[in-house]
Amino acid sequence: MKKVENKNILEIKDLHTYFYTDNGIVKAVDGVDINLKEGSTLGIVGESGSGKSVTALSVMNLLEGTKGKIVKGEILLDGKDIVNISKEEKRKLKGSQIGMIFQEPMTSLNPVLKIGDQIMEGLLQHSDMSKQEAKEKTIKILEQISIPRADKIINEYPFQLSGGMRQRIMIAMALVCNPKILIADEPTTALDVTIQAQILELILELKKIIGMSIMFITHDLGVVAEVCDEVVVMYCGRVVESGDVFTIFEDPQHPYTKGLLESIPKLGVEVERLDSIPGNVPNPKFMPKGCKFEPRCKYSMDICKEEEPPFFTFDNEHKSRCWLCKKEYGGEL
Amino acid sequence: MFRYFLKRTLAVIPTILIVSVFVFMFVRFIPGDPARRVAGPDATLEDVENIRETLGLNKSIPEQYKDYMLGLMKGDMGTSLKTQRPVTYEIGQRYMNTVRLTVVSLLWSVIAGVLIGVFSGKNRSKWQDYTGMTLAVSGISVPSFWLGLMLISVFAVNLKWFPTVGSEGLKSLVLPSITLGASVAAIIARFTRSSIIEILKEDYIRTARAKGLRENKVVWKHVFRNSMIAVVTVVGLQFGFLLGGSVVTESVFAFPGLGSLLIDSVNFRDYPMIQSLILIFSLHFVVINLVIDLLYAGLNPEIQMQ
Ligand SMILES: Nc1ncnc2c1ncn2[C@@H]1O[C@H](COP(=O)(O)OP(=O)(O)OP(=O)(O)O)[C@@H](O)[C@H]1O
Ligand SMILES: [Mg+2]
Repeated sequence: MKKVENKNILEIKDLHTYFYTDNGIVKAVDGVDINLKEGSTLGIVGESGSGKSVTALSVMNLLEGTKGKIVKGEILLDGKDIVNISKEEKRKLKGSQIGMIFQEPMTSLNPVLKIGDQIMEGLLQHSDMSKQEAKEKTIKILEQISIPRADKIINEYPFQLSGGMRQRIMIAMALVCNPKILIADEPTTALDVTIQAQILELILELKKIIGMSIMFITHDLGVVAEVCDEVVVMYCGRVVESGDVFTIFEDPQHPYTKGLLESIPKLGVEVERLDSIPGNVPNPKFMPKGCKFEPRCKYSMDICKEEEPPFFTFDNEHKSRCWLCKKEYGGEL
Repeated sequence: MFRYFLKRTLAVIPTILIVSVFVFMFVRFIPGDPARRVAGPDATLEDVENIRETLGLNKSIPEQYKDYMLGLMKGDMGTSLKTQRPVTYEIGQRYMNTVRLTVVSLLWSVIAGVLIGVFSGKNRSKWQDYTGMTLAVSGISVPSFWLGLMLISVFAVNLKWFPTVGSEGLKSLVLPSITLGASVAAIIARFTRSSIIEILKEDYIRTARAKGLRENKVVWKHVFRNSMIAVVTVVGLQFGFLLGGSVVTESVFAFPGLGSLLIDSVNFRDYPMIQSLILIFSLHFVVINLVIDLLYAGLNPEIQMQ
């Protein structure tokens, strides 16, 4: 694997996104730092509710209409802040600079609009193409993602397509303006296994052609191993460990990461259900004072209950937020 | 699509038949004797019986029904007991007045209702929403006869902008159609609002936003079309309400339409007139709902394709 020091196309710094619900504040993202290197694929993993989607929605400025708000932190796209800019500037970035695909292909397409129209409208919004040019570009991208009968499909409606097909359409839609970044939020979770593999392959292939950087959200570490260069592990709205994919798989430092890795079903091995991590994600209203993972951690120490661990940095930008790192591995603060 | 249309059109016939049977029966259950009304207060019992016979009211109800339906097939709705002129003539005199009133009322109330609903829904909990919904609640709670009288006293009697009564010219339609359409507009506004709010939560709206579309495009292209699928069905139901409402409104404005004719006919126990009018109202209702169904199918590609 080539190891080039690429610049960061996307930098998330100390991001805090809270939901102000009727039942109190939900700190969905509470101090997250993520760097996406140009041309690389970054995996974000973590259990349900760890704040993966909210991180993505914060980047995409799609919190509008929810009770969520970015309360602190910076998001830099190509070095430029995209949090404190005008609504109109934010809108212009969506679709053209950053594309996003979602988990639910069945509900993510508008049921009453033709497929072609839904792909084209992004192009028409962000460029000054004519309708005819946009249509040609749409057919071209559909052919690129090897959708048969592209010229017919553009006149069909979402209900006429299977889930796998719809997800391909979503991908075409997200990439039609050649964005610099693709955010894929569990793009294969809702699909069956054979289709999953095809979609993954497609994303990787398109990455070669278009050359975008990818932020890949999943809770399937198997998928991470297959497609990602780097991994960020999230827990309770925080990053608990990050590093390149080999390091994370070969030498995980955080007990939570270890637990996740142990829970990957291995071929031919009977898996005893997720007993690698006992217990549940803590209730946001009763967050532990110290390390958020402490109640479920089998290496729990006194300090873990009292104080939240900072990041300990190892080589290769491998970081882990665990007191064990200080004690056993001599990581530096 | 054509077959669907044909099927739906043919289904109108049994509906109308069933309605005709019920109307025919119920009209004859209204207390009061039309023969006596025709004969006048001084007539002898014998006179009344004679008149009953000439009117065909001494026959059994099924027989009367048969006669009426046979006449109907020839385009004859019978003779008005009150005026002694053909029912078709009397109705013909007033038919277009009511159509005009109903169409104008429906048009403005749908347009206003939908616009208020969209602006309230997309600006949920902002001043646009509060203004729109205050209007809507008033529209629903104000009784139409009261609204009609108020409009007459302010705009016709005091300001003299519009005529108080009658059906001469477009101006005479303004106050009655405001009266008739107000509550319909309000109901449509509320329904549109809640539908817009629901659709705004859909995943595909998030997708549309993720494309960086302008907010107007998101609302009018993605949200609006989907919410209209639900709204058209309500419009169909409201049309029935308009037909009923026209009876009250026409009376308040002494508007020479079918509604006020119906009231006169009921007072006179004018059987042929009552049953014909109700049949016409039902036919309108059924036809409008057919149109609404087709519109619904037209908006919904999934149904359209089947
Ligand atoms: N619209 C919302 N309103 C209130 N709370 C929300 C909203 N969306 C997300 N949250 C909360 O934010 C937290 C993080 O949610 P998020 O969707 O980011 O999790 P996730 O890591 O993507 O999980 P999953 O794997 O299930 O997709 C959760 O506790 C969730 O309840
Ligand atoms: Mg999620």
